[in-house]
Parts: sequence; C-alpha cells; structure tokens
Amino acid sequence: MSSQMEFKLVEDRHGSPVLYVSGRIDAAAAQSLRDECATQRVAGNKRLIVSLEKVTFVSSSGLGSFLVISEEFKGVGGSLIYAAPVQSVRHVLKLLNLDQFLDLAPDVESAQQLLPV
Amino acid sequence: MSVDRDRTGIEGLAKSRRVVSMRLIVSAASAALVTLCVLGVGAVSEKNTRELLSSEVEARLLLEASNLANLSVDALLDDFPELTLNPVVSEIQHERSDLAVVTVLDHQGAIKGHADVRMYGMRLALLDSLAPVATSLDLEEGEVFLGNEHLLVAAVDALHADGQHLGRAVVGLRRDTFEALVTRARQRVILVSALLLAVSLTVSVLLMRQLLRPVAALRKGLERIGHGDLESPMQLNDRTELGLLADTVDEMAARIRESQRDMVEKERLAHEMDLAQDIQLSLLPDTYTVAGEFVIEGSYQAAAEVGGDFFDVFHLPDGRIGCIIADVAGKGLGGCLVTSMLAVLIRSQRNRFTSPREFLIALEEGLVDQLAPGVFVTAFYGILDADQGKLTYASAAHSPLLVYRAAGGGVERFETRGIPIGAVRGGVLATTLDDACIELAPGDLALQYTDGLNEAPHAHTEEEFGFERVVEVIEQASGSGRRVLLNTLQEATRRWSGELPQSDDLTLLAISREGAVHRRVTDLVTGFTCDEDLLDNLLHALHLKLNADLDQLDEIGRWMDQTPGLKGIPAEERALLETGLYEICANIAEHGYGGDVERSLDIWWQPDDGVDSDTPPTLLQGHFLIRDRGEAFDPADWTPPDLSDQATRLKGRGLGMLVVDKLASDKTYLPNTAVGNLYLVRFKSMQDSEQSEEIHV
Repeated sequence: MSSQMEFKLVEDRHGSPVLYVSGRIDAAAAQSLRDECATQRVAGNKRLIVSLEKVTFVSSSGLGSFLVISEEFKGVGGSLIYAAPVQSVRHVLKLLNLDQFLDLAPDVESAQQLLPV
Repeated sequence: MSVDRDRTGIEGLAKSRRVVSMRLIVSAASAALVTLCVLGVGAVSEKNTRELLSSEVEARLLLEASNLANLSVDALLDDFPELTLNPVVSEIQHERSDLAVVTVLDHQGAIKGHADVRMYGMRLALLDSLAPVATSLDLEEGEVFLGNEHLLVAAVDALHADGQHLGRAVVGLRRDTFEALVTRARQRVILVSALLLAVSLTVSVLLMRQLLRPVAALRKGLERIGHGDLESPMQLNDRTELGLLADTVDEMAARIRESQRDMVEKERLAHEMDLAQDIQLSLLPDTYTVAGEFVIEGSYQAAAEVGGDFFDVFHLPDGRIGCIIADVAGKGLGGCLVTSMLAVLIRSQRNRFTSPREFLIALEEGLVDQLAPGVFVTAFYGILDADQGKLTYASAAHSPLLVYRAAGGGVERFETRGIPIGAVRGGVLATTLDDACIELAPGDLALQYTDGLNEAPHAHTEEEFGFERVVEVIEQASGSGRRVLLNTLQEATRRWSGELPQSDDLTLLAISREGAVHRRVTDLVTGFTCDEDLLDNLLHALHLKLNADLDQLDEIGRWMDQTPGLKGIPAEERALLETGLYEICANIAEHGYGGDVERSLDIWWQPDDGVDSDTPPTLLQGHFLIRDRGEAFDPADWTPPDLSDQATRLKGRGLGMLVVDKLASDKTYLPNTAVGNLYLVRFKSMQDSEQSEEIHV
C-alpha cells in the first residue's frame, strides 16, 4: 500500500537528464526520491530536472525532501529544477513560500532552457 | 555540614604532612660541604706535607752523611781511624736519637766508625739488604740513597783531596720517625678542621634560625586568611624576600576583602532585584482572559532583572474588559518602582472610568507628583466590549495599535496623537488625548506592544527590527491564533538580536477574536461522555476510521471520493484538502501515537447547515472533526520553521503543521476531552487562499 510513486530517468543528449516522477509523494516515497536524486548527484549529474507533472499528491515530507534535495545540489555547485508541478502542488509551494527556495519551471522544455548542459 | 567536613579535611591534610626543617637541611648540607672541603684540603695538605718532609729529611740525612764523610777523611788516613771516629760517631748517635745507623766504612767496606766498638773491622751487612731509592735531591758522585721498608740510608763517599776513595759514611734514619712527623702534622689538620666544622655548623644554624624566623609568622598569617580572617595584616618587618612575600600576601588579603565586600553587595542587590522581580511579576496577569469570543493574552520579557514595562487585563463593572499596557522610561529598580506605583494606581482607579481617555488623565494626575523630572510613561488603555466586538482605546504616545484583519489577511495600523504621561505637566495631556473605537471581526487580532519589539537591535548591524517586520510576522502568524503570534514575535526578535543581550523590556498584548470557533465546538461536544454520543448524535454518516499508519493514510483520498459533500469537488481542491487532512493524521500517527500503527483515529465531515450534500460543492462548506486518543499536542505551542535558515531547509522537517496552518481557515484543538483529543478544522478553498496570498504579497 505504501509508496505509489515511480521514477523514470531520461537522459537527453542535448540537455540535462530528466527524472520523471509519478504518483504520490508520501513519507516513504519522499525518502526514495531523496535517495534517487542523491544517486544522480553522486553519479556526477550535477544538473537535474525533476518532472512533477504526474505527481498528484505531495505530503509535507515530500515538500521537505524537495528542499533538502535542492540544497544538496546547491551544496555541490549543481542545480536542480522542479518542472511542471500540478496546480495543487504549485499552490502549496506558493502558500508555504517554498517557491523562494526552489527552482521551478512550468514545463520540462523551459527547465532545459534554464539549465544548459 | 559539608563545609565543616571540607575544612577538617584540609586541616588534616596540612597536619598529616611530614615537615622537614629547612634549618636541618641547610645545616646538614653546610656541614657536609665543610667536611668535604676539609677532607679535600687535608688530603692535599698531607700529600704536600709528606713531600716536603720527605725532601727535608733526605736533605738533612745527606748533609749528616756528607759531614761525617768529610770528618772521616783525615781519620781514615790514620792507622787507627777508630780512635778518632768512635767519639764522633757516638756523639752524633747521642745527639740524634732518631738516627738508626751512623757508621763509617773504609775503602774495603770494613767498619771503622761505630758507636759500638764490637762492630769494628766487621762488614756492614745491612748495606746488602738495602736497595737504591728515588730522591728529589740532586745527588753528586759518591752520594747514594738506599732503603727498605724500615730504613732510609744516605751513604756518601769519603774522598781524599786528590780524589782517592778512602771510605764511606753511612747515616740511616728509621722510617717510623718520618711517619711520626707526618702523623703529627695530620693531627693538627684534623684539629683545625673539627674546629672549622663546629664553627660553620653553629653559624649556619644561627643564620637559618634568624632568616627563617618570619616563616612562622607567615604561616600563621596564611592560616588566619585560610580561616577567613582578612582583617589582620601580617606586617612582617623583614627585609628579605620573605618580607616581600608577606607584603604580597597582605595585599592579596586586602583585595580578597574588597572583592568579598563587592560580592556581598552584589548578592544583596541581586536579592533585592529578585524580590523586585517577584513583585513586578506578581503585578502581571499570569494567564489569558476569555471574554465571549475574545481571548486576551499578554507576555513579558524583562531586559534587566526588572524593567519598566507593565500590562494588565481586568474585568470592569459594566462587563467590559480593560486592557492596559505601559512603558516607563527607565529600567532597573527605578523603573520598577514607578511601575509598581502605576499598578497600584490602576487598581484603585480602574472601576471609576468608562472612558479610556479619562482614565489615562486620572493616571497622570495620580502619578505626576511622584515622577522625577525627565521620567515619563507611555500608556495604551483599551476597553473591550466583547458582545459588540468593539475596542475603545486611548493612547498616551504609546506604540501604534496593529490590527490583523482575518478577512483580508492584512494589518491595519492605528496611530494617536497623545503625549506621554508626565512629559509635559499642567494638564497638556488632556488636550492631546481622544477616545477612538475599532471593530474586531471573528478571526481579527489587535496587538499592542512596547518598543522593545520594534526597536530590538540586529545582532550585527544594530538595525532596528522595525514595524515592517512586525507587520510581516503578524500577517503570517495571526491566523494561527494569539499564542502562536506571541511565540513567533518573541522568537523573531530573539533571532534578530542573536547573541546580543536583550536591550529593552519586551511586552506584548494580544486581543484576539479567536474564540468563535472554540465556542462552537465546545458547545458541540459539551455533554458527550462516550463515543456513542459522537457516533449517534453528531456526524456518524460521514465518518472514516483508520489506523494511525502512514502507509494507510491514502485511505483518506478514497474516503473523500465516496463522501457526500466531498466527492465531486474539483480535483485541485480535493488534492489540497487531502493534503491538509493527511498532514493532521500523519502528525497524530507520528507524535500522538509515537508510530504505533495499531492505534486508530477518526475523521468526521460535517457540512455547514443548509448545504445540500447531494450537489457537488464548488467551495468547501463544512468542517472536519479529527479525533485521536494519543498524547495531546497543543498547536498553540508550535512555532513555524524559519525557512530562510539554510540549516532548517537542509533538515526538511517541520513542514506538516505549516501546511495545515496555511490550508486551514479555522482550527480549534480540544485536548483530553471525555472522548479523546478533538481537532476541529475548516479548510480554505484554493480561491480563498490565493486571494489572501495576493494581499500578503
């Protein structure tokens, strides 16, 4: 029953890799997301786009993991963009003023433009 | 008791130590040195004496032998030399008893001169048993030294003027005679050494005694200090280093005495400050006041031990509530005294006035004669009519009233033109004061405060915290109720000022119309003593029971999709609603039940009256009641995480309550009721919260 979140990493020869996340980011999934992004970071992908287009639900643990992942990428001189969050997620991010601390893009294409290889 | 035991222990330590006298050490050392010296000198001197004596004895022996040889020359030319030589040898032998051998031999080695006439003509057998010995003298030809362990013999040839060898004179000395001389010399050395030793010992003992005499006085003085007597100086009249040491100890005792006096004085002052602080704190309300839908609560943090801030909340005879906050210009005991006078004056006068303006004027009249020139008081006095939701107030130059409006989420600022109490005397205050009135709607919150809030200095730049930041905090925290606001303001100024000591008193007074929801729920659950009451009479049709298991909280979404009044709401609204409920339940599971997934919690959905639950709503019209039986949690004690701090962001925790806080429009927590902990919450629609966000921004 627990995590109904899935990942798919797509490497783009002309741009930064994109991690497509789908489903619900609850407490358990939040940890998996952190682990996956840490793996990418350690593997040398200092620029990463996380697509939230298919994410229907983000718990506070999920929001917390967004912050941690973002700070961890900044910590190694990299950058990470959360792309295409659905309206409810966008709304919560804005309500909590998290948009001040996270790099957001309306879609993957504009994220790629913001994040040249 | 422990002090006594310690003292005994310390004294025991001093007594149990074995003391070795410095006098003994120095005397023994000096005796040893003198002895070594004398022995060394004695040994060298004996060696020298022995060498000198030996050379002297040899010279004299050789001289004796030479003389005898010369005397014997003529005699040896005679036919009977014995006749001439016998008296000569006998006389020598007689005069020199130390000589063992005195004899003259002819050129054939036969004895011709000897004290014993029986020896004449015989050979001197003795010569054969002797061997040549080394001598320091320069011997001429015909002179020889011979000897064995008992004898030292000088033999000199008797030569005729033409060089003919006529015979030989032999003179011998017993070696023990020589040794007796050396022994005598040694005894003299020993005698002198013993005398020197005795003198040096006596002198060193006397000298040490004289030099160490101040040590006893020094010890006694230090013991006196040790026992706490710092008043009697040692005054040691000694010109050595010990005298200097005694002076230093006297100085040290004097300094300790002074610092003790200072300490006692400080303790006395601190005690008085404690008393004053107790008195001042006793003047302040120790809890919040509830009046209708209003809750009035203040908080106070003194800068020094006691300060010049004051606030009070009291019921007036007409049923209204009086709220006063004042700031006396001056901290410490002076400020505290004026504050105490003010408190007494307020208590004696408060029931006489229905107009805040009149009351402040009366306070000035009562206080002005007691205020020293330059001391003044700023004060705000408000009278709350809880039934009407109106606050009438007047302000004597106090900080502007800040009012949070729940409807728009913004903050209004109300200024007045009053001057401080006691600033200008002669009734000028009355001409500057007016009564003003504002209305407070449900959810509104009026904040009064002293300048310790907006003037709090920054830790590094000393920039004041400022009204803009105060307003920002009010906008963010007021929606969560007055307790969260007070906590957040205190925390925000504390962070702003960092390690700086608090420079001014910080007093806050919040008048919050937050009880509307509280009363409704209290009415709702009053009289419920068991679950059946809830289930049968309240919300049983729209109920979800689920385990406090984070992995099962997605049940909430499925339940919402089946529940009348919730199913069919737009997907985005549904997602927000589910997020809010999920966070409340996750908080209960994690903190209330400590992760025990076997425990359960309940959610009820209660649509507002008159809402048709069969038509899909566009806005959320109703509230949720969440019940658990875990450890109670007070949301009022919660402070929002400071996301501007990178360390907080790196932890990524503490966002759950923030989510609920932002998504909920109304929330009331009733811990430990007969049916468990109840949390009543109403959520904003996305449109509502976006509107308030726009106002925030």
